[in-house]
Amino acid sequence: MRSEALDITIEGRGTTIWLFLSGPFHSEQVPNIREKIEGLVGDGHRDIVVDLEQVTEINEGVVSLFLDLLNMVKGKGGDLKLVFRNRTVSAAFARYRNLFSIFPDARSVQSHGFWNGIRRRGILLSRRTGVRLSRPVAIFLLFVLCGWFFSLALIIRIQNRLIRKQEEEIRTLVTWKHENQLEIERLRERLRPMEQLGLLRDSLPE
Amino acid sequence: MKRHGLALIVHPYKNVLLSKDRLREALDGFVRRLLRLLTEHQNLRLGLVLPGYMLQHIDPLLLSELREVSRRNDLEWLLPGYTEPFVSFSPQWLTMANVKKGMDVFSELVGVRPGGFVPAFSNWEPSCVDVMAECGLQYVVLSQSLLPERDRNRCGYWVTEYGGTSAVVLPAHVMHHHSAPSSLPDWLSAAVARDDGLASVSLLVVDYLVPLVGSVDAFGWLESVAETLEAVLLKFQLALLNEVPSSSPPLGLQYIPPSLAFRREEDELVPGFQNYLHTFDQVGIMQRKMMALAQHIAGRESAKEVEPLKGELFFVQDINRYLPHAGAGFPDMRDRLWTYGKMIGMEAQLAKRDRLKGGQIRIADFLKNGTKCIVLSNGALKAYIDHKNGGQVFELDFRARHANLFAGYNASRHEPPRIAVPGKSPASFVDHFLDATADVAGTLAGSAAERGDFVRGPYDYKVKKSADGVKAVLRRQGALLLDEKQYPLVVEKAFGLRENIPEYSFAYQLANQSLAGYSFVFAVELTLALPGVPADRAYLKCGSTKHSRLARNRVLLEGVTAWTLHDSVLGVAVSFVTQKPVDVWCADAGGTEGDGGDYHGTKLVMSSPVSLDENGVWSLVGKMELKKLRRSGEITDAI
Repeated sequence: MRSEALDITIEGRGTTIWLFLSGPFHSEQVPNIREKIEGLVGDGHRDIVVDLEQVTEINEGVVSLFLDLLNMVKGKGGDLKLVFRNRTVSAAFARYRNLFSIFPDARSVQSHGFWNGIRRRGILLSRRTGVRLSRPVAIFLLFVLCGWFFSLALIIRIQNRLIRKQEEEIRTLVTWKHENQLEIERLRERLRPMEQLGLLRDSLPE
Repeated sequence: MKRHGLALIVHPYKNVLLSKDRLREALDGFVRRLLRLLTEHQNLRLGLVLPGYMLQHIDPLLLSELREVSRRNDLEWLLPGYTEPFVSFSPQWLTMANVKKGMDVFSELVGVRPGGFVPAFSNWEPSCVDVMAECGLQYVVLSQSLLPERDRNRCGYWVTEYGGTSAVVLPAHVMHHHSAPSSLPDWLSAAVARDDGLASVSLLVVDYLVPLVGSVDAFGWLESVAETLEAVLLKFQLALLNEVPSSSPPLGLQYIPPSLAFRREEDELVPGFQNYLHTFDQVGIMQRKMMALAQHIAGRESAKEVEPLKGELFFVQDINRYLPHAGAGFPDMRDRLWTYGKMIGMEAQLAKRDRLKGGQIRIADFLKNGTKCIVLSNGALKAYIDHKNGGQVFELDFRARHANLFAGYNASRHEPPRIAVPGKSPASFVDHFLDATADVAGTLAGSAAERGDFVRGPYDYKVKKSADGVKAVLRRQGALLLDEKQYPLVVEKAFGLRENIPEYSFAYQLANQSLAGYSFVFAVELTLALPGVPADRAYLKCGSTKHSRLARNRVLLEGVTAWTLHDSVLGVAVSFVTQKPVDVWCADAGGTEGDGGDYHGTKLVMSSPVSLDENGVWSLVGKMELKKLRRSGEITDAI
């Protein structure tokens, strides 16, 4: 009874309808699932999330079902999101990843923003490159990277402070020099008549 | 003269549901007598089998005295688990967690980790060897009836192996107060004589079961044995089980297949007992529900969320609630409702945490019959619909009261074994089509002549999920055989739940797609489990008239649109409202006379004469509304 093998759970979370599918997903079940999702869209639901994480087997016909459903839902101004990270389903959807909104788990569907983007991108990259980091290693690397940035910022700050201090000193010295030059000029002016009378001779070198 | 070894094991068990106070009282009484026995008879050495939760209920002072006796090496602790898990009916991870928790409780309260495993009813699966190895248990005590017949009389112990792991098996003679021999020395001599002397040293293990509650003094036999101990000690040396494997070699290797000594008091072995159990109603549904719940809990990540639920699940997997025995087990309505109640409570907790909006629809092979069931649920109710077998509802959970209202029972067995059999197992919303002149009361006894094929026939289904509710629409195109002529009939029935309201709506539409008109009687049968009925704490109310003594009386309400069933034991009022007037029969589901002694449920049959003209349509719309009532004499247990 392959047509009866797939378990389906339908539930509402906020304005979104979630479908959880579990078990082997073969072409025999395609009409059944199509009917259910079309029924949900027909009832006015526009945001649909299909969780395929518990799907154990899948064949090509299933992917084309989701392509049709995506077109239909998008055509009605809605959105169809898929949730999975298991190998079987990932392999089946590999060619169409750019077309679907795919999320690794239910939590990331509900949450938005920068970290969620990073998380999704990370999982996507890990699927493409095969490079995965365990959580402790990732935290350690993040810690090291943050340490580097912090050290760099500290060095720049210290250098900046030093430069400002030197600038201040230079400014003080320039002012002092300028004042002294003025003072010298004033004194020279006062001595000049005496020099002209031959009473004094300048001892400073020219 | 060489003395034979004798190991005496005392095995108290909770034979009925008990309140916390009564359990404490019963346990303390048992421990006091045990301590007195061990103090008065210095030569007596015993093994004591206790589930972990019982240990938690013993008075700490008595427990410390037991600990002292154990330190003197006169008492050995043996463990069935934290509760007494039904290993074959439960997922292995749950049994493992149960046994581990039992070990932890022993370690915490008596400072010792038991070395021996004593599964209740000798309920054994070969994979238990892995459970034992994981939990650090070295030997298992099983009824000797689990061994091949030729080896049952051998006095000694065996080794069993499964998947490369082995464990010591100590075969025991399981005894109850009414099957225990009046003279133990004579019985022991006869048992040793039956052995052909293969063993270098004879060993006999006696597992004596003591029900915690009962009119008979089961402990008295142990006291009489202690009195005659001197006579026994001439030929036998009392041993603790942990001393056996090191003192003598095993008799050989035994593969023990999945087994169960069905009754504690007898050596009655049931091969393929799971098949045997599935010839009964309800037990299969209870197991399926437990498995689904265990799977749900195992899938949750948060340990903080999962641990308390796991603890409750240990009690749900307790074998005493599943096997039929005197005053307990699944045929007993109180036990059945208690088990359902625990599971419904857990499901309600999980559903609350999921914060679902407008309910949930689940389409899954719940009954393991190869076809799907439709499960509709919201915050208040959960209904299980078998669309392949008459579109019947076989379970309706009222979450506010942790009650399954459709937990009725039929004592007749199913062959071949199946979890539920349409037309035989008690279910609700069973559609009967009778002759226009037929007596509807016949449906109460199951003797009415069916004119349709709608009781067992498959229905097509569609499910609908809206923002505020869930709905299942079932449709079957069938035929009626009236006056030896076939008439086509389309039956469409819809069940729905709305928001989180405890209201189960139903709508029937019968359509004649032929050009010939015909008449018949349409009846819808429901079987409700009302534990208040046997004690006359339930009644049927229609308008201002109350009908009580539902266990004995048959009640007929003619042309009514509203009526209510009240049950103060369950604490539930079930109100029915229909758009059209219907006749309602209410009677005991046990039989036409209704004996009230062995209560299996209450049948309710709504009926109405129907005339369908050519292309005519007839409909019936109604709802079941559930309310909480104040409870009295409710079903309680120590947990």
